[in-house]
Amino acid sequence: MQKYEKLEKIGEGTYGTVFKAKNRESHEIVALKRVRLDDDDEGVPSSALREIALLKELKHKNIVRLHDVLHSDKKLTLVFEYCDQDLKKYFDSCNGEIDQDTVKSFMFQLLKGLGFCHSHNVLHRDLKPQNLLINKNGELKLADFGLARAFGIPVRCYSAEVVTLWYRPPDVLFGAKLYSTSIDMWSAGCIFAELANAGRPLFPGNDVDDQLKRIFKLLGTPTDETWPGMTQLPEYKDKYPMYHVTTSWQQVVPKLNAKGKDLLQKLLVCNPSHRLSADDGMEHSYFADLNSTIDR
Amino acid sequence: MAGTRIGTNYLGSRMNSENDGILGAKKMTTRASQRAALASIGNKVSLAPAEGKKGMKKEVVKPNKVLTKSNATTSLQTALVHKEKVQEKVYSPMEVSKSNAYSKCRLNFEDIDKNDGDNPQLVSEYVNDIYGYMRHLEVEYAVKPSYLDGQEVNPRMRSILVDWLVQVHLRFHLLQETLYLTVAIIDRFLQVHEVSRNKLQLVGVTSMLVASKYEEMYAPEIADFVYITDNAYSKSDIRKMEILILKTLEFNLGKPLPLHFLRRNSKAGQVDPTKHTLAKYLMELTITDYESVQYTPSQIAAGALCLSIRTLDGDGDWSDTLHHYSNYSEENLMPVMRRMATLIMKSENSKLQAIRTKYSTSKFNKISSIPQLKSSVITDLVKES
Repeated sequence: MQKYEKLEKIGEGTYGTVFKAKNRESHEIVALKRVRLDDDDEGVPSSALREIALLKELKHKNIVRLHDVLHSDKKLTLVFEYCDQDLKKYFDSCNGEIDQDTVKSFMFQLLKGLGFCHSHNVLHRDLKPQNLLINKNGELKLADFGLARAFGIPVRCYSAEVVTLWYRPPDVLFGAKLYSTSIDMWSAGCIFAELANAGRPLFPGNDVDDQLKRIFKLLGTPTDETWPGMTQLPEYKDKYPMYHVTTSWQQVVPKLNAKGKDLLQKLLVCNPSHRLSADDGMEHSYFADLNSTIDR
Repeated sequence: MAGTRIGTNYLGSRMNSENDGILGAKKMTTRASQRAALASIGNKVSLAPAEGKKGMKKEVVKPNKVLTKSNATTSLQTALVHKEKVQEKVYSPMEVSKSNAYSKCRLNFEDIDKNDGDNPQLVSEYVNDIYGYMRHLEVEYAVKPSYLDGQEVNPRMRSILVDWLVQVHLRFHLLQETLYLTVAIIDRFLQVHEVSRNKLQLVGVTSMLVASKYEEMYAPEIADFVYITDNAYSKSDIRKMEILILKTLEFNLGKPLPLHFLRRNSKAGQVDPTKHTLAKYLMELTITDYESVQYTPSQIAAGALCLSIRTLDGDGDWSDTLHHYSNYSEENLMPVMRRMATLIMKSENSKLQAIRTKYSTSKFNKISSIPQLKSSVITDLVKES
């Protein structure tokens, strides 16, 4: 790669290694994601093909910018704008303390990027702190669209093997293949709680059963009344105890103000059809006093 | 069941008649050869019982090579005889104007999404934004009419290729979206990247591979595409073509498809499944038709539904609601409907039967054989065109 000078390895994406690099001419710092194209395989991985195709369409301040795609004999290199860290690393540097205005700003930016994806018929399907990038201006950007896909309307069946366990909504945990923009809104809710608690994950389950139990313990086990259709989902099991809500939101997110708790509850709804959308989320009164430095 | 090598021999044989570089469909010159070439495609690909991919790979029978070779000679001779009949096709500019979009504010339309709040699959909150965005994209990714002018590949070859891909698509059990995306990729690639006729089938299967990776949960493997072309190309050929196509299209694969718009229109018109199926058939007939590349996906979708309603109801009721959500008035849709009526008329005696056969099965309500397709609604439109 002549145009860029590799500086250091940053991490591993869904399908390739990510490096920090410098443009030799402009000295611009970028992130390079390398996709190996081996002989005798299936060509360009569909995850890379989709990520590139979708990011070409999604030009937005809160979505990581794909500058270029370079092709050489055995690899594709995706050239991204560089961000200093992801939200996971940001949490690590917080030492359990986070400014509540920062929480609000990050959450708003997350919803804004997400609203843009959804109105451009794209589902992210893998939202988690590692996939949210933070630059030194405090801007948050959605990244890693390796599991993302464009959807048609009505949304048809897609893979149920999506979203990292801790951020996976109960409908998908029950094997739903028919999901929609609400899939990302659940993850956004989990991330909101994690933000408010300076990086403590809300539902760190060990497996699908444990994940569902943790969710139901906090929100109460859904019933046919609160969630019609739940019992018909492919992996639905009648084995979860009837948990009733015993934990108060005050215990879950002690530092989040009342309006924030209200927004959180509207995102973390088991029944996907009652989950708040990104656009409605941005209109929530929690953001009424948002610092004016964030564009609305 | 062997794969089918189309194009290479047959298309190669046409070179002599067209090395003057002028576009020509030339029905006379191609007729003799098409029959044989298509018959071999039909025998090999269509109506095959759904077998496991592994199973079908093992049977290797390649009688079609002989067929295509012999017909290649025939075609070469007839082609030379009719060389002087080359004629240039003049395309009318897009007749559907944008102006109708501005007049729609006076339409008395219903809000078709108002009761959808409880169904996340219908994405009611974003649906109008999304369709607005799709209409923007379809203009951005439009295919130039008569883009094959001066190319070695001619419209007839494109039609044969697409007809064959319809059969491959059916055999691989792929989604409808994948078929439309495949054809969109082929056209958008060929309009900027000329290929020789012996590479046309490679472009075709590779486009289907790319479309599958974008749309399908599980895309067919490259080996399946090698097999289906009867080893005309290697896996490495397909991988190289994949990169070339993606680079040429700059990875822009999000072109909206007629199917996306049809679903919206069918909802706006609250049409019954028969009308929806007939509209699907009419839309699909346009993909083998080179002249139809001038129409945008939303025009094709609206024209197909409007003609379907006319055909099945005996008259047209293109309501204000349909006008509003499709963005077209009935008048705007006349050119595309006339073209579709012509395609219906021609379909019975056409050499390219994949779509008509597909839609004659009960899965598609045998819609391609309904008597209404011979009614005056269709014949009158053909007379107008």
